[in-house]
Amino acid sequence: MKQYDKLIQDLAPKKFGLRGTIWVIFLVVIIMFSLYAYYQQFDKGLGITGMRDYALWGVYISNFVFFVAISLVGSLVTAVLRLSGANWATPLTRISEVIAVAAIMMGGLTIIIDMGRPDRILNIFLHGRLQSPIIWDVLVITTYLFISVLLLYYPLLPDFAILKKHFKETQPKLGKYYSKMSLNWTGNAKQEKIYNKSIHTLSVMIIPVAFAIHTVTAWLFATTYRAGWDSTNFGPYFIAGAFVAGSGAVVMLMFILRKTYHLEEYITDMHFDKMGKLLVLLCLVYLYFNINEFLIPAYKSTNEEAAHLHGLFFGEFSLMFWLAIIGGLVVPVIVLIFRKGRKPVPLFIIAILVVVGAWWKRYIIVTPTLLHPLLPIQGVPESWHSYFPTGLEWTITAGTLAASLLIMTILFRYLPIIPIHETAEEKGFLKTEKTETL
Amino acid sequence: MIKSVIFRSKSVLLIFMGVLALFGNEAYGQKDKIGARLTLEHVKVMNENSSLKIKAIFKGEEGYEPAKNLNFTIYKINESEVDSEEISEEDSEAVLEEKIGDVTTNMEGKATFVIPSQFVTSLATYSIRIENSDTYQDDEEEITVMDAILEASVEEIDSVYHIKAQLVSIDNEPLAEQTLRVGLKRLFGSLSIGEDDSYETDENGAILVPVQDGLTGVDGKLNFQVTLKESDDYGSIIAYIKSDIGVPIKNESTFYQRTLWSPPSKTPIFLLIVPNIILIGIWGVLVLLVINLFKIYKSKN
Repeated sequence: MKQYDKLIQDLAPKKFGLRGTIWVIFLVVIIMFSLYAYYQQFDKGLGITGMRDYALWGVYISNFVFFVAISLVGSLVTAVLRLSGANWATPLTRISEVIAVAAIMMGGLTIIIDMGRPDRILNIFLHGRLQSPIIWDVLVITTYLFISVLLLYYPLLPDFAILKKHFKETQPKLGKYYSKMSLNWTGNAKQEKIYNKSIHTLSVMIIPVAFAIHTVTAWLFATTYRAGWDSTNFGPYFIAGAFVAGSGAVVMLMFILRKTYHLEEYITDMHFDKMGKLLVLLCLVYLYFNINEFLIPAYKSTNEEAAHLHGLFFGEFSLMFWLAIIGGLVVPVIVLIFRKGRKPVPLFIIAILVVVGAWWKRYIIVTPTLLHPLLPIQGVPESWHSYFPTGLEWTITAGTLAASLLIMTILFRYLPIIPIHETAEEKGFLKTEKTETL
Repeated sequence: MIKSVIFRSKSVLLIFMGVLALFGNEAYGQKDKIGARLTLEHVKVMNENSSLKIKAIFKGEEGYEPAKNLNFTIYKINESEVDSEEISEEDSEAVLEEKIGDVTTNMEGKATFVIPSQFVTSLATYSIRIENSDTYQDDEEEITVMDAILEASVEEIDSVYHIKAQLVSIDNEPLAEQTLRVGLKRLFGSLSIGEDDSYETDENGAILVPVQDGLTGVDGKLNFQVTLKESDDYGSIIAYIKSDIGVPIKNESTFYQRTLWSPPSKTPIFLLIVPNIILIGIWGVLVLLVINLFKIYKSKN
């Protein structure tokens, strides 16, 4: 019983320390700046951005695709790995689900930020055409957000019940909050039966929805006849890339949370090792899709594709392109095939490279294509021939990233980072029948 | 003494300035006006009307630009009256030039003046003039045309449709070696008919041009035009031939169909059914999962 109490003591949410408070203030300051920048955009319109007639999608849409990609990790760790019997991922399920919820919330918000007239958002639902992939995207994002919230909440029910008792004496107000959130969870047979069935249903359902969300996002591009986007391969290409980005994000958070909350006993080197191996596999799959995506158009070299690829390989986007490919895919594969490379610190550094590379990869998927239309760009001001985000765009984008980090920070403040009930069951601290967990 | 010199020099200066103001202003004004370049064409449309087509341009800062809203006065010059001895010298100018109307150029610097039928004669000289314009210098352009008749028809020869046209003078004399163009009137211009761009009339003043198969028109109607273009003697003459020898255009508009590009009210049925079944299926399960949360809440004991 002592071990069980220690487990709860270790995994129960803790107040922010000084560093935590500074971190939250830092994020809030960035968000305040971005809110001011967005006020400017709302007041003056999208003219304050670098977007013009040709580059009509810019850093916002790149950021949106990045958020959607990151959110996919929820389905990977909580559903794909668990349903395939990879129980080692249990301590990572909540981290990945929190990432999924925060990312998909900010992804949806980023779409609204990209709108010139956000006050007309209701028109999407009133006059939306089911023929348009944009409507499919709106529907599937809403669905995925709802499933992700449920998938985060359901496994928390036993944990909330544990936390209710834990905080009853020390922090009664917080204990009351956990009591309400636990929905009278006692772990009786009837509750467990409903709980197990619901979680199983969710974990099965989230996989096709997660695949749909990123496939539909890919179709936003692939249904347009443009160099760089005109590919039947775009759906799986996006999903492969999303798993890479999401896994990188999970590794980053694993490292930071382990260090901050001293979770070395629960998030061990074994978890980093396994995540490192998984990342190698995902990077190789994504690399394969990249070769496929660039080799065939380069071989055919139609005028438009040649101009587009030249811009990526040798032109104005080459630095970002090679950073994303070499830094975000090739280097991780080389480093992570070695056992030492999968140790926490090197893996954390590699994960940063992967996530930064993944962000720039979305940028170079969106922007270069728009600057290489099939009809030549003529009779427009010189500034319309190229695109780079303005300071206000960068500020707003930084604000969305900060907001997603703030959501994660707040959720990790009040939720156990590692599922308490499930860990207790796995360690044999509880003598009950094992519940279905994620 | 000094005062009177100053006074006199002031008066001289004032007079000098006054003279400058009077005459200098006019001299400056004439110099300031823009010189327009005029193009004049006489167009006769058979069985309809005759008109003068005017185009005015001027050399602006960015090359030639259209002279917009420029007013022209149109005169008919009655040359036969000039020689008449019965007319006094004071009246000769009035009889010589008869004002027949006004016309103003549009935003493209173009204007069309339909000549009233009473002023259309077998031989006529027309003059267009810029008079008293605030912006443009006074200018004039003249054109002299003889009347002629262009008759055209569609004839079927050996199962092939032909455009047959004949150009004759007002005295019914065939006009040979005149260049005629044959075209099919389309929305934005004329589609050439036959192998050549133009055809020369033979000794009978006639041409015969085969019409290629497969020309399309609304309900099969085709509107051919035979044109004598800017002849030195006869100006431009156009004869239209309306026929129904074309291939009817099939209406392929998808406006009333359910397509991928139609508005929400005309969404293809399969796109209404499939996504809605998926949505209802998924959200139905999600609603059940929310209900399950209530069930857990109620199953305390």
